[in-house]
Amino acid sequence: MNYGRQVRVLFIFFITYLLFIPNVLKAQLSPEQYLEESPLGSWNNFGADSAPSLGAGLRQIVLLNSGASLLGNPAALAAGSSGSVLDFSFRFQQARLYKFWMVNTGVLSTTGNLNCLTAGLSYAGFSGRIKGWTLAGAYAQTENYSRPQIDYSLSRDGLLYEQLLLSQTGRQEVYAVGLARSLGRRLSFGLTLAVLNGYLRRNFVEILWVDNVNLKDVRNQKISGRYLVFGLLYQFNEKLALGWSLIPPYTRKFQGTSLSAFYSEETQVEIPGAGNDRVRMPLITGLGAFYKISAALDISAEAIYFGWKSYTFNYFGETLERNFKNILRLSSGLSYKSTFRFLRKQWEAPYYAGIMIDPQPMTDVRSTYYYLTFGSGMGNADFLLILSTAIGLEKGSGHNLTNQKVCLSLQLRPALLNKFIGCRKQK
Amino acid sequence: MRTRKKASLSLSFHFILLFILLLAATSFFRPAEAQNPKQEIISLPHRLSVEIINKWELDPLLEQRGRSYFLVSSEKLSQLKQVFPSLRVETANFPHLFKPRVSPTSKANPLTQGGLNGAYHSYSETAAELKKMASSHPQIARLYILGQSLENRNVYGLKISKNPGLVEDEPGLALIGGHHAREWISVEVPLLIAQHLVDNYSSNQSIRNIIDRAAIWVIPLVNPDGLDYSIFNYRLWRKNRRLNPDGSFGVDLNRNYSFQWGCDNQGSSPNPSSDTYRGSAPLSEPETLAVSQLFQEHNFAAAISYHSYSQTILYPWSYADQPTEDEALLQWLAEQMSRLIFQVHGREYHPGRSSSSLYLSNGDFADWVYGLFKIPAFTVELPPVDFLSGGFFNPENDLRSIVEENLPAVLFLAEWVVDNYPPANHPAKIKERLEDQGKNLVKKKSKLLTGKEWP
Repeated sequence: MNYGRQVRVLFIFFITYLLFIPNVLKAQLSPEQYLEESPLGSWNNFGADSAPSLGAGLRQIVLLNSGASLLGNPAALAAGSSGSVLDFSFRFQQARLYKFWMVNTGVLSTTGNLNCLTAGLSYAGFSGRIKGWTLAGAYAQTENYSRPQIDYSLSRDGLLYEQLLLSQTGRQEVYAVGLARSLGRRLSFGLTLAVLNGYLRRNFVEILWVDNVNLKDVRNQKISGRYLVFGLLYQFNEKLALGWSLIPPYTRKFQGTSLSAFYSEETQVEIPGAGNDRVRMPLITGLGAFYKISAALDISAEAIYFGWKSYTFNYFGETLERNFKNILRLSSGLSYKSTFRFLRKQWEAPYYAGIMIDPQPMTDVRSTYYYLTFGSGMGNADFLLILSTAIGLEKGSGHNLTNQKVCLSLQLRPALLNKFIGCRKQK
Repeated sequence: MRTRKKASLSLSFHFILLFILLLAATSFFRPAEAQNPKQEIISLPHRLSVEIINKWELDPLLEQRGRSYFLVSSEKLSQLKQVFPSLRVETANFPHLFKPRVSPTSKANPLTQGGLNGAYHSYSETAAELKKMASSHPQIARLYILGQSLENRNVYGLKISKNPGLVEDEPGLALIGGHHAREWISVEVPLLIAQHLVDNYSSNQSIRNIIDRAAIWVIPLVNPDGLDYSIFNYRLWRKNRRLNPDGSFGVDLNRNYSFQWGCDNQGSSPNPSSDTYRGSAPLSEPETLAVSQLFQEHNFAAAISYHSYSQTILYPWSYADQPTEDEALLQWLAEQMSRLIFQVHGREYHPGRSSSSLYLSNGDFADWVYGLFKIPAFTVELPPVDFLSGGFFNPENDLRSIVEENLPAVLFLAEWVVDNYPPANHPAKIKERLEDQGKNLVKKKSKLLTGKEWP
């Protein structure tokens, strides 16, 4: 494929993508999905978001040649062809919500869905090979708990009577180290230790201007915990590989403080609260298959099981009922790699496409997201830059919710790293 | 030299590997936590005689859907299973009963006992307290599930009486709270009064007299769904959690009772989004229906419904600004209670007819109780006195004093109920009167209890 054709294909892809956005953003999300601790977009979070993964239907278990497999299947670190690499991924996420907190649950109502947009570094990591072992370390933002901010005012005859301000922000970050090794020519195994860190902040202020009364409800929680990821990858031959990944159940800790307060000219009433909560996270395990159709084209399929039935949630000392069911998330992805020469260098241009069916664990409403994913990029021996998107349309809640992710990944490859290291050595 | 360097690198690498593996392994092992002596909750599909209960040292807990629940030591479990093949172990269904409200390892401020709601009780904490009272005082307290809310939470009623498992010819006094979600203090007062009654039964003669001769029914939380919404979502939520046809939420439970329900649009609202929405029909809500069934099945002689705020003691009528035919008695009882409350901490609760003291409201609990059962019924609006003084917010350190000051009023009304039983319309009283006077039975509309203390 020549360069001109490459550019044309990319152009067509981005035009298609842009045309698709407005249609997607009309849609929405499910009501029962957005509980206090619900991650934005989906309950079923596994691995880290990176463009190669996102574009190929959130390929996680048989994701080769990407450091991001550290959190999905560490065994894949040893199986890929890359040597030392540095990976950086940035994520833009846009989700549409209908019911959450006090919005559309009795206090504030909206005529349609509300939009929540977040952006940030989703993954930064390295992996390197030493004597048959692959070592990797990474930072990843795996969950986001943001909600649309609300600033509501009630005025009559030009007089401001009441004002409500509510905001929720939060995220879960992971610091992970892992190692992987090939056992013989076919089998690889990997193990990752992930340490959790994060926060969840809820702020609510209600001002009754006529009485000059101020009500507050402030909640801050720190999230901590750790979990393991086990992975295996078995290569039957040069074309076919099977992967297996397991995250055993683990405990996520929430240490929180709260303040419910009433302030008026006559009195101040403050009810401080605290909670040391433990949230039992479910077992997650998945199987994936990877098949190389030709030198340039491969296909993958993954099934990931989330044991949500065993999930328990404590919130400031209260066990809140989460009547969840177990979930099987199914996905499939294609990737095609074309090569061309440009500026006297050999370039590659991968293309990704995928689908994913992502049922949500709530039992009182059958809510499922159906995803289409696309991605493409360009790179050479020094780097690879990929942009991918996943567009999720929800069915079941009646609110046509959406979840959309865009991921931009940059991989710095061995050739560039060697050059960099070589330069430093010369100095 | 190079070989040595390689060997050193390899050794370091293996140490790093070993360290990571050890870290991973140790992170998943924790020391076992100390536990209290093990107890289990069992259920049986039938009642047991007192002899069997005593023989097996069973602590009766509650009756629910035709099954009787007991607390037993786990040592006796295997023997009991042999004797009662239909026995079911239900411990897993009562997760809160054995769990302390605050984790022993909690480093929280000692003033903040229970998370977001501080020292106040949420639904699960209220349920745990009631179960604890019933299990620790099985001779005088039994817990009943009167019904279930829209979101399947239980509406509990704790019966405090000498033989709580028996239906006896004794007067009932209802202490009811938590109609309105945001009025957290209205749950605390009946709950902690119940605690005081069961704790002091053996040591306090006047309390023993009351419990021996009457049945005190404590229903501290009529609106459990609303209370939890108020704690976890929006502090000023008032109604229950009914999803109305127009997409709004909630019915005002204290406008949903079936006496003069919706007689005008001033005392309640037909608009579902209104804070005083009366519901689609009288007793349309499972929570009010549960209270209604309790009153129809038992012999009540008086009732107090707790609310906040405004520091008033209100009596019917509430739906219209006109006196009941028993205005004098109701006023006298309210004044006595107000006086007793004032004597404790000097806080004044203004007694008065509801419609003229507060505002018009129809379909409320007190009107319904008086209107249908012709017994004294009061709405006690707890502190503070007005919105600017805190409104629905009471400082945690005020909680104890509010309960303390309301206790003598409850005891007074309970004693009055006991002293005036049986009422004039009671069959035994009528028979006695007929025998004395040799007259025919006079079929007359039932009248209020009249007593010697009534001037």
